[in-house]
Amino acid sequence: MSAPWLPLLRRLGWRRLRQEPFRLALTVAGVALGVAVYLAIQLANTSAVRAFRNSLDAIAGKTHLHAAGGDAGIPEELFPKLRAAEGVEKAAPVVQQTAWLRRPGPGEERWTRGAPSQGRAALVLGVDLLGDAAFRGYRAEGALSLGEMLERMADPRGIFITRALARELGVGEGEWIEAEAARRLRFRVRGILQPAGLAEAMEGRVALLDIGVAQEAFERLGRLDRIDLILKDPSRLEEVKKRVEALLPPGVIAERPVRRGEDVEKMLASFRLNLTVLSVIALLVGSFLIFNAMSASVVRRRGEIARLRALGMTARQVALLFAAEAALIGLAGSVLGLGLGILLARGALRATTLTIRNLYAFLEAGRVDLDPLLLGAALAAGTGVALLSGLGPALAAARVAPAEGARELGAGGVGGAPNSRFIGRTLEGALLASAAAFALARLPAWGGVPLAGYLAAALAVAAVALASPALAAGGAALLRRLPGRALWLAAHGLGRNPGRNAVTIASLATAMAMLASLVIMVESFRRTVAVWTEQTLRADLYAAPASRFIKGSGASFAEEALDRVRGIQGVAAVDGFRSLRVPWRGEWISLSAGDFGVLAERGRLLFTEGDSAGIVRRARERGEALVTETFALRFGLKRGDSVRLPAPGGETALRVAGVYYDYTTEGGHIVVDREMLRRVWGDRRLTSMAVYLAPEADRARVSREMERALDPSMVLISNAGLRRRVLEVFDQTFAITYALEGVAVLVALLGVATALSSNVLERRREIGVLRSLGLTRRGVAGAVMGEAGLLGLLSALLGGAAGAALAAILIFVINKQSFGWTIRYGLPWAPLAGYLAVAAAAAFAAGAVPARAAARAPIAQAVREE
Amino acid sequence: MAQEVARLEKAAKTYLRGGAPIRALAGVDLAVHAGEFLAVTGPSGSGKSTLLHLLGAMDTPSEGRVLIGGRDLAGLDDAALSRIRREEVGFVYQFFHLLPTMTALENAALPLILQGKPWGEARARALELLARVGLAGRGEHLPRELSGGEMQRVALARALVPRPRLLLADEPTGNLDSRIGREVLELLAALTREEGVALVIATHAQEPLALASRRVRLLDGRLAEETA
Amino acid sequence: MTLILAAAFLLSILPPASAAEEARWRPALPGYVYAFPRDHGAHPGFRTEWWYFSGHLKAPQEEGGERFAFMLTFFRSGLRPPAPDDPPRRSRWALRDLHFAHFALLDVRAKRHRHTERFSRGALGEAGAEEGGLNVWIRDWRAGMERDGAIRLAAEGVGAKLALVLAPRKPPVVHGREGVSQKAEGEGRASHYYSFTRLAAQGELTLDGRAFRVEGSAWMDHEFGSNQLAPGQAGWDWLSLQLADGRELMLYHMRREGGGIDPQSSGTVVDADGRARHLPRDAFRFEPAGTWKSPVTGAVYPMGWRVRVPGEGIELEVRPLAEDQELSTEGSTRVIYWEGGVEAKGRWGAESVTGVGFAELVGYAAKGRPRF
Repeated sequence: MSAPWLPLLRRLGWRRLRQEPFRLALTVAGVALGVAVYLAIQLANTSAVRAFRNSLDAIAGKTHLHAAGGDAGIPEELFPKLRAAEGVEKAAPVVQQTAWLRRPGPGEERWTRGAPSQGRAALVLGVDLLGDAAFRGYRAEGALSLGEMLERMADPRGIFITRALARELGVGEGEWIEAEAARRLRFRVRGILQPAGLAEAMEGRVALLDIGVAQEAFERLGRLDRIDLILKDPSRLEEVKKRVEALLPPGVIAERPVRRGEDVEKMLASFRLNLTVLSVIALLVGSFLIFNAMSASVVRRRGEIARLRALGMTARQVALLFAAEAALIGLAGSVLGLGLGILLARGALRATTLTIRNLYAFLEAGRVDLDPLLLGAALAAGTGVALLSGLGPALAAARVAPAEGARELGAGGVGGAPNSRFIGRTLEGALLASAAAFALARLPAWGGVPLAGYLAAALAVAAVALASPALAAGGAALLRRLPGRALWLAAHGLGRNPGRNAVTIASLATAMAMLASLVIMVESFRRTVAVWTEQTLRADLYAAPASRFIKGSGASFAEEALDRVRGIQGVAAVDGFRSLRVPWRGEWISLSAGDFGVLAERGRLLFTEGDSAGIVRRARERGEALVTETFALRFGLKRGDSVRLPAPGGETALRVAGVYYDYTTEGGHIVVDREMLRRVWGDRRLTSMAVYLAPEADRARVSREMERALDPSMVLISNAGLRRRVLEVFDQTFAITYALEGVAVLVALLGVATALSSNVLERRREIGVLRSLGLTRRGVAGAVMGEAGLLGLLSALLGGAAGAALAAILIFVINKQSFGWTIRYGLPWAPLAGYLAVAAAAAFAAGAVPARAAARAPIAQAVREE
Repeated sequence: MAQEVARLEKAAKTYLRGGAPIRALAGVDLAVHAGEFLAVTGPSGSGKSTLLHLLGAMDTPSEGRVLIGGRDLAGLDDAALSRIRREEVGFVYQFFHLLPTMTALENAALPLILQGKPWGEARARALELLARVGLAGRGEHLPRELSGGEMQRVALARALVPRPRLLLADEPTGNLDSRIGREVLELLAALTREEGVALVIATHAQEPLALASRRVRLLDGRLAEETA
Repeated sequence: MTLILAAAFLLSILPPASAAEEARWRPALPGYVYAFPRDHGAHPGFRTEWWYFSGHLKAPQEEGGERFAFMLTFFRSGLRPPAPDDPPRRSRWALRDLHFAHFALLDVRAKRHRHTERFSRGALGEAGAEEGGLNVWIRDWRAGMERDGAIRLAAEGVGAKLALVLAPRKPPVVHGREGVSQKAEGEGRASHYYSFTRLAAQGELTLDGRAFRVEGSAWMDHEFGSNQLAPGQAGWDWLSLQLADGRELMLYHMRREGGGIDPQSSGTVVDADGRARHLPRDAFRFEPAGTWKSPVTGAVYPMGWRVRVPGEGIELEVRPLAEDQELSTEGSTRVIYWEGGVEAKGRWGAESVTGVGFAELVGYAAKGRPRF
């Protein structure tokens, strides 16, 4: 069976394809783009996660178990106890902080008014090197011995930085660097770490201090962030863990170091799934391209197929011939896509890293991990999708009867002109899919994953595809009645091949629907956040340590700073805010505290029900807590519920006084009055402050005086600046989603170009006839371009409408179930119309090459009978 | 002598086919006059179609000149050539070449629409011509709903709708059985006569020869004989 | 003498400090005035300091009459000389000194030698050396002087647990001249070095679960200095002897690379009444009688010595109580040396004498050789 068709594939398929290099190139390019985007996202995702995991591994070293207490840290007295615990082989104290490092500049000015823009975020680890070598690997340049390193670290201003940081900061041994953590600090570089062990974490954004220096520098006297333990027998981890836990005070937990990675990975899962789904769209749109190309090929080669069949080729062999052709195109595209994907992956990784840093945790990841498994999967996906989409046309080819002559050439799409039954059935399918999507959208999440939501979204996309034939036919019928020569001809073109044009519309409309839904979702989200910041950010000035701009930084400052600011003339009130990571119900949560007095009087929170001042005042009087919407959803809490939080003196019961909207963190907060945090948790530190000015106060003067009163590491932000910053972070986070969508639309546009060039090829004779009837070249080109424009327009209309529905699913189902944020749905008319118009215009432009080809075709040859 | 409608002067045409030059016409002098019925005969490949394409401004000669209505086509741009095709020449093909998605009426009206005439005017003229080719009432049919003879009548109507001065027909009966072919041919001759249109038919059938007012024979791209 | 050992291994792990930092360490200079008990305590201005205890113990005859030799040394090595512009250190983890301790015990009859070590940065009071009086410790290893002048020692590990009370029988003897013990040519190439040459020891020793009441005689060295070693020094041989007639002798040879003895080598003779005399290099001979090759490290040590102090009429043959008393501390301090109990027999003037003591041999192992 294989004997006849393999050489045929080369002789017939390839020779045909070679005659149409433009279409072949477009098809291959479409598949390549789809594969590239899919691969780039997968590579970026896994590289980011792997970098994160590797960093955690490098930081944890050989640690089997550690004790940690979140941002409050753990008392250092615990160290000898844990080291002496049965089953513990070695113990290592760790103070860990993220900080901005930079080379001291000429000016002593504050970093910037808005946000720290200079310097490098780095992980600064305070360790006892004497015992730490058993946990983490260290290699210093100059082959320093442990003792030599120790001697240098005994310098109360000595720091070790990695080679990577030294290069980035432009400093060498013996030079000074500045670090912004709880305070602005100066350190002398006493050694350069080679990339090994710990120094490999965070792509080398690591600095090392002696534990004592770290305690002093980060104002952690008497406290440690972690105690790492190596066990005598790691197989008895659970047993030793229990023994260690018995020694721990409330609020301190023992966990395996991989736990933190697992937590972040869990948080990342939704984000990764979103990106993966988006990246698959481009691949699917690419599959439409293959379908188009193969359908056109079958139509054009009907005569040839009939002759082959007449010569004795079986229907099966014909099908195989075409399927193999599709698979080969897919393979070629996939191979190209691999190369392109690897190139794109760097950019994608940068964007992904930025998003992770904005939303989840400090991460440096610069190396794309070329996982052969992912490369293989992308190759298989590209080829497989191509094969699948070539299957329909291949089967259509198999149905060509041997007796069919060349005469019936060009009578419509695959298997002839689509009849009204076909259109009716697809339309029914579209309605059914829409109804199912609507029903599914009401189902709850499954194990935290909005499966039904994703299914609903998929069905909505399917509905778009299914509605396309009706739209193509209907659009063509409608447009034919409109005046205008070019449009009239274009409408005829559209109606001439509704089957294939429907596929083109389906792919373009799908891409546009995704684009529209993202635009609607992101814009709605952005507006929600903007409105929220306007309504809830009411203070005039904010101040926070620069290192708070690194996600997950535990930096804090002493509350005495509040008094210094209060004393400034023109300051009406100051609200000190504290946020602590504490363990609760086996997870890390953010326990926060603000001055409820100031908040009730001057601030405002948007509660799901009830008025802000009243709820806050009551919470203050009764010692109750407020929780954010995301927190409430995460733990299934509602107003009136009671929670028990661990505190140094034991557990403290807190009633939930209200649930409020908040868009600052993913996991949400539980908030208490600061007086209560001081009393119950004994915490006297702050993470930020909000300053309210008196009505007649001079803001510029107050901020100048605040700068004098506060440590230079404190960043001052105006109300407008903070709001701007919130939206900046927001935009960064969604940059990659837009990029992905853009690629899907691009692939769809390639589809428009290939579909049109197929049409032009098939209608060579028709065009010749029109030309012979006196249609100018420009007229021909205009008709083709008009057809492209119509495709774009119809796709934009369908895509826009479907996008609005899809956005509703994204906002009310997927996002709500994945992240817990309430987003107010709103149609951003201007940007939406803009994007769709650009896409439609691009579709119009995509007709240019086929239009030129059509216009240039010689008439005599086209009309000549053969 | 009636007015000259079109003229070939030493017109030659060479194609490249598979890399090798094929001389389709080798210096032909021919004038077509108003009202005449010229039959061009010759074996397959003798250059009949090429001759018609040159006369119809659909192709340009490799050597020599083509004049239509006294104007030399050399040096005319696409717009001018298109205009000549649209207004001065009609064409009828062996395989009809109707646009499959358009109705008979739309097909017939197409040249006027291409001329930018309003639909109403185009429609009236197309309906008139359809009636004259015997297809009154069939205007809303799609080509695939018509027989071969009917399709060729639509094509004939389409060719005459713009009131050309020259009608070129390339084997117009080649794809029809002899009875239908004869009917179409007679219609063609009658209509061109009525409208005063010069008719040039390329054919190797016998019937046209009987009706033709003049016959020329092409052999290997040259005019071999001319019969008055 | 172990000071040099301490200095040596610190040199092996510490860099030659930057000139500026080096200059901040206090050098050992002539004219130092000792005051006790202050000088029993730590001297943080000096880079290196140690408290060395060794002795010979015996269980009562009725309990078997077992004999033991022990060595317990606490080292303090300053990591960084205090600088006037240093910020005040508030962390209890602040890194100033490294603390090491070596503990070795010889079961004389079984000739079984065991040793172990500890080290600490002294965080959270885990290890320390107090100023003003003798009190040094690493966790539960400790050497401290009571109000009555008795010194308590405690150490345990490798199956041995030692708890002793040492009562000085003579006042401290300051070695060298003008309060400095010169180690090489050059100002500051010296240390401050004194000894309790005879301490009555009493206490308990638990060995592999078996408890012994023990008594005997011990020796204490306390030495502090900053930069006493010179380039070109390959190691040293050191010897302390307590003679049955109540006299003591201490000698050391600084060996130079490529052979030869540094002219700054010296010794001290202590009379029964506690009076001491300095012995310059040319006043004594201290010659090896044989060699022993360590099966563990491959180092070849001199083993057995002939000691002559012509001016005092001393002629002694010194033999080790066991050949294998090597300490290999590669785990932490990375120094391999031989430190062990010896016994001596010979003549002092007309009388024949016997005695016991300790010898220390450094710089023989290729791998664990201190770096100068």
